[in-house]
Amino acid sequence: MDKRIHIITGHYGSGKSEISVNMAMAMAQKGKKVIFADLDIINPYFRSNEARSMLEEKGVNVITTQYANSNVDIPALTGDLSRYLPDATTCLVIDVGGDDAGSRVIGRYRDEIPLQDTNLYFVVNCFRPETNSMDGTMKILDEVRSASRLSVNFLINNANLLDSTTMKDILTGRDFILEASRATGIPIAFHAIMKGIQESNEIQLNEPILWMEKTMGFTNL
Amino acid sequence: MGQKLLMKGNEAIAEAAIRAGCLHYFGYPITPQTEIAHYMAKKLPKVGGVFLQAESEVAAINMVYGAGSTGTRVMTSSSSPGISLKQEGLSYLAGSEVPAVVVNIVRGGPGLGGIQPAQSDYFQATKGGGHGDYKQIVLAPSSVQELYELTVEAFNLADRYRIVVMVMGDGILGQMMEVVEFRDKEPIERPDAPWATTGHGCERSQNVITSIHLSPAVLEKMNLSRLEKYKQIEEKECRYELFNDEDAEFFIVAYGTVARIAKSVIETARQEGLNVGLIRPVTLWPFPRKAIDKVMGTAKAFLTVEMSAGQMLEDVMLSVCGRKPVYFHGRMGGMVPAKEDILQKLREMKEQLG
Repeated sequence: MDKRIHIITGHYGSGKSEISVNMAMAMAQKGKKVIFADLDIINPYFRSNEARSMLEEKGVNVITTQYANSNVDIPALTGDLSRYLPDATTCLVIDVGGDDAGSRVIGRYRDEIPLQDTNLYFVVNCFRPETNSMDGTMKILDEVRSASRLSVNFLINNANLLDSTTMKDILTGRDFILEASRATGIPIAFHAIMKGIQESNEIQLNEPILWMEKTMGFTNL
Repeated sequence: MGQKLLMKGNEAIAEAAIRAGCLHYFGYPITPQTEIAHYMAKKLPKVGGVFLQAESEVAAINMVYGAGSTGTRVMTSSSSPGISLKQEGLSYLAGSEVPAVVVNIVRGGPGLGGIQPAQSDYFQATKGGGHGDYKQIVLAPSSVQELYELTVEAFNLADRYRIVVMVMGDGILGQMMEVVEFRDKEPIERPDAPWATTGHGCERSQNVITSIHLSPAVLEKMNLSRLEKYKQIEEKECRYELFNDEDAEFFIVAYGTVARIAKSVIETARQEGLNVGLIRPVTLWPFPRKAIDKVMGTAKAFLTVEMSAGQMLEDVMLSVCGRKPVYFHGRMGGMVPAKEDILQKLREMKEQLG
């Protein structure tokens, strides 16, 4: 996470937004000036904009698509991003919508993104229907790459079955992401693991871990 | 049980349909259920099926009518305004007794309304949104696992009774993600369909699927035979869940998403000395009147909670039939009932009734 700009992509429902929010909070905690950009035009229901107050408490500035969370189903992009992309004093975490359709949005900013300062991540949850096979994962990875017109620098393992996720599931995800990494030559950034997961003290992994807090979803249920 | 996957409600519905042998999907996108169409578009061609995005909801339901007439498993899905557009087709399907599965992931109305969750299509679904004396089975799941299981069941029920089965969820259920555990083999029942228009091959008389019967005597006779079928369904297919019903004094009646909220209210209420149970209708039609009768011994009053102005409320009142007071709490327009508000309502009931 040594670069200034972090773009998080992934398949639909991979956990991108939750991971983006947690990455932004982790960076802010290290005293960096962080801007969080929610560019998810795919899903009007669950978006990281929900986590706005949590981010702002930690000193993260949030910019979103226009009309986000207003119930107006219009996927209009914000111009704010163009202001921060060249700004060397800020760190940017950009949460992009799922699949190729979501990633196409970031392609629109391609010429403004300083590539040497940027990492692009691809999140994989091997328990989602589209990415529970290597073929499926490779297909979406390729689609995201061509739609965003950028290359993927890192993979993120987000093996996740919500509250029922166990140590065994994380290790299944680890094996899966290692295989994906070998097949593509793309290194692994980290394993995203929810805080408080059972047997979390026993987790021994060679790659870094991002310990996650839950920031989104319906808390009423 | 077999494979576990993390799925959105809408994805689980689509996957369930494919597992149930649904080979045809016709629909038109609308939030908050578009993932169903998206999933079908990706997966159906891989299993030899047909996905078609129709030019409108009206076209889609008539494609369902056509495909269903051949006895193949077919589904369409939409959300409230789109389901309104399909009403004419649903009446035709009922009049022709063609089986089909229709999914409604309800959003706030009336009109174009909003895109947030609601339960305000209850009347339309259970009392017949289209014209004529007809019924459709309405299933109301309340988790992603149940969306999967009840969608499979919807196809079985549709074929068993040659009837339209509606799976009715709301924006939360469609959009939320939960773990689904899939069965290794689905319990699929496919009765013979000697009525289907599959080509007579000069070996039998023609099958005709139609809902037009110009002779009043014939039309009444057909209506009467359907009523007989509806009566059978009412006797055999009522489903419900009772929760904390042993000796509860107050009963929340709620379905779908709201039933989940009710369950967490019940936990908190117990700590305050309020003994509350839950009646969760799983079939909205036929409405499980028996569940109400069952708890009448201990129940002092009922509280219907809905994301509507009070629609299921009328069926609860008809079932209670004046034996006990019935209260109501509802939110509309995409607002979701809050635990604290439901609890407050229960406290007031306790105060009034002692």
